[in-house]
Amino acid sequence: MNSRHGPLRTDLSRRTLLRGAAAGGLALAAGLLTGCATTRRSLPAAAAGVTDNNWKVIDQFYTLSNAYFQGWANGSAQAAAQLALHREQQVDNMSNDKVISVFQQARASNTRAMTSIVADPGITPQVLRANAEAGIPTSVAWNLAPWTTPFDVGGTFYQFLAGNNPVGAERLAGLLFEKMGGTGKLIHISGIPGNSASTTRDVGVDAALARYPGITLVARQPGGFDRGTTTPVIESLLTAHPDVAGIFCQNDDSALAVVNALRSRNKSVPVVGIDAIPEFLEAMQSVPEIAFATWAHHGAWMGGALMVRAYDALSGVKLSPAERMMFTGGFVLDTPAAADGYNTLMYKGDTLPYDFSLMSKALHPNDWDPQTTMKPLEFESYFSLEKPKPAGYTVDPAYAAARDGDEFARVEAEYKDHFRKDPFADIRRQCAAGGVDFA
Amino acid sequence: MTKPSLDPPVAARRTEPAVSPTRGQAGRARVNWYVAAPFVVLVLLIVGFSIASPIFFTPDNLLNIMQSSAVLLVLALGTTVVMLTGSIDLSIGSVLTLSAYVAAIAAQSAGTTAAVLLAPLVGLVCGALNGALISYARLPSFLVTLGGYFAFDGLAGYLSDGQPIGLAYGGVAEGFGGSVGGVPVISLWAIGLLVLVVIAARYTRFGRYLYAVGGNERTARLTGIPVRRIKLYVFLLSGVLAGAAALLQLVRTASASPGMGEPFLLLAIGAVVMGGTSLSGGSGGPVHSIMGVLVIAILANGMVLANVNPYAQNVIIGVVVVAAVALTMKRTRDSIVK
Repeated sequence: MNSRHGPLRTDLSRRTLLRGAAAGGLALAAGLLTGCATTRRSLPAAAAGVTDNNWKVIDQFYTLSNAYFQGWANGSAQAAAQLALHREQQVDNMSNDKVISVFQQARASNTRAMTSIVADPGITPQVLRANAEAGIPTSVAWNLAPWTTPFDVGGTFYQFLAGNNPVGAERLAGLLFEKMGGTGKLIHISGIPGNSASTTRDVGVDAALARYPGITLVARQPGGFDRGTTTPVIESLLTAHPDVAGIFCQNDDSALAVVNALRSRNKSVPVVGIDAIPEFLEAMQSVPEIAFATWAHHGAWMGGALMVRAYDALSGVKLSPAERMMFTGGFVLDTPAAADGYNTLMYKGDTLPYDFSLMSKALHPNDWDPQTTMKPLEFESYFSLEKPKPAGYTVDPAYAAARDGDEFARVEAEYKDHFRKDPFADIRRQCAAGGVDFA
Repeated sequence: MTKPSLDPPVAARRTEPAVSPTRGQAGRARVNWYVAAPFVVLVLLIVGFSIASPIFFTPDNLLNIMQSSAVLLVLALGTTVVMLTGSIDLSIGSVLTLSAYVAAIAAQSAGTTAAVLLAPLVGLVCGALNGALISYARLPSFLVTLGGYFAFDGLAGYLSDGQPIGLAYGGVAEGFGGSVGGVPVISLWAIGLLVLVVIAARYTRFGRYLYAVGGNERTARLTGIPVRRIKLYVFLLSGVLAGAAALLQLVRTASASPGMGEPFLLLAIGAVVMGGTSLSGGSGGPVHSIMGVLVIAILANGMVLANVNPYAQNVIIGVVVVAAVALTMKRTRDSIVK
């Protein structure tokens, strides 16, 4: 028998093979799409007094591949459900083209408002101006091109919210330095060179170093906010500085790589990170002598709060100049018990511990509650950390009046007064340093 | 079937421009220089970093470099084999990510053995998909593996919901972690795989066929070499090696995380080309790639120890890569100087 035509041999033409492969690929893609369409968490019902106005809101962010943004998406979805908003999630995977496309198509797709965080702040002036022309109110978090403000873009740039990186990093570093006894060698694993979060967190670490002259910074190298990038860097640095007494990491992903490297060398050196992701919180419980502390700044709150801003903007709520750019709250978890409590509350439950409808000034004009600390962001000093003020830049007169008068202090006090429902009250009590909320 | 009568390396060599008798000595000198150039680059880097940092040339740090080269070396071996045939595999980073995730999930639910078996097996399946489409559907390797780059990475994200999956201490981490006689175990695994691939490339018929297919695919086919099957095997091997690299990286970082393989793609291709393997196939080999891998690992390690400014680090890497390729590439072959 000719072996080419044996019983186990099937002669497939190239066309047949391609057709089969194409059909299989499409079937797989369809299966994945069906699977993706399934919502994994239950969503709350609309809050009392909320009516469905058929308002479509796009929630654009850049990745789903970390716990912070999964929390963000979860908070955003739960807030949208409580406020009867029709939320459309757009994940751009750090592609500027996709971001621009999402913003450009917003008006055509009958979008009424947007919430946004872009990986590359350089494109924020362009996309925010596109939405200003389209008349779509937009709230933005964390990343903003220096010297691009709601006052420059116009009324549709509703609000900018960000964690206070310099203060957060300084507090965290201060706790680490105390743990080190105020003396010894420090390794600083920074983030991505040029990234605004990385730059502003460096500023915080430098401020803490200035307060603790006994701490010697022996190395500052970027870890790319990523455990794979951090691993070879920390392995080299631990060889170069075997007597290091503390390690500051710019996020928890990098901190996990450091914890792993220290464990494999049987070394016990305190490590701090930022973000409070589940794996680091678990490390704080399993190896507390190494995984010491993390700054929790709540991705779920940010995603939900921006959705509330979309609702308020569409409901006609006006913000004062001091409220257009604000710092948002967080606190440092520094014990295994606090880490466990936070992990359970934020990542293991079916619903989040926030009442998003209560954050809305439209729904609760008198008893609105941010459920965290917030304070006005003084943008001139904030942006100066990254880039000097451009020649000829003029500060908006309304903002300048608020800054120069007592408006900033009044707004800070007002938000402090309205902060009554604290989801983390029990967890704060388990923190060694008090778990004080700061913005 | 009649066996091919022509020795494949001869077929491969016939694609090289003939060296005229009068230019023979200069030609041989140039060939020797191509072999020696990566060593020269390596020695220059070692001397430079030893001056810049007293820690650099210590036994502890040399072991560090060995450890940090292991994953890249295994990926570069697969890339070398693929490139010897004149193809390219852009999916290795994504195969690594997918294999690591499957192994991490298996380690949690079914134990160490399942993880150790599954990582290379997933790589093998991915390689089989790539290889079948390239060999039998005759699609370009660049496009097929570009599709794999996206699809395998997406599949890993789908399996994990984008969440990192930690590896419990003990189990897989214990089997592949630690050191033997001071040498990191993951480095020993990488060296073991290197030996196997070198033997396959230099001392087997399969190895000779690789060079023949890369040297001139049409001639190879005419001499009776089963070109399609060789291409399929090449991508199977690349997939298995990416799966093995996944296991090593999984142990090294104690977790599978989104995009964990992506940074390795360009580094692996860069290391192979720096080592002297031609992008158009037919010349180079796994031993050459060791040099490229070491250049990259030493650069990364040395610049951290010397506390080089992060922006300057990228500039230095760029300059060294171009300089190394300029020294090692055979520019007499027009097809690779485009």
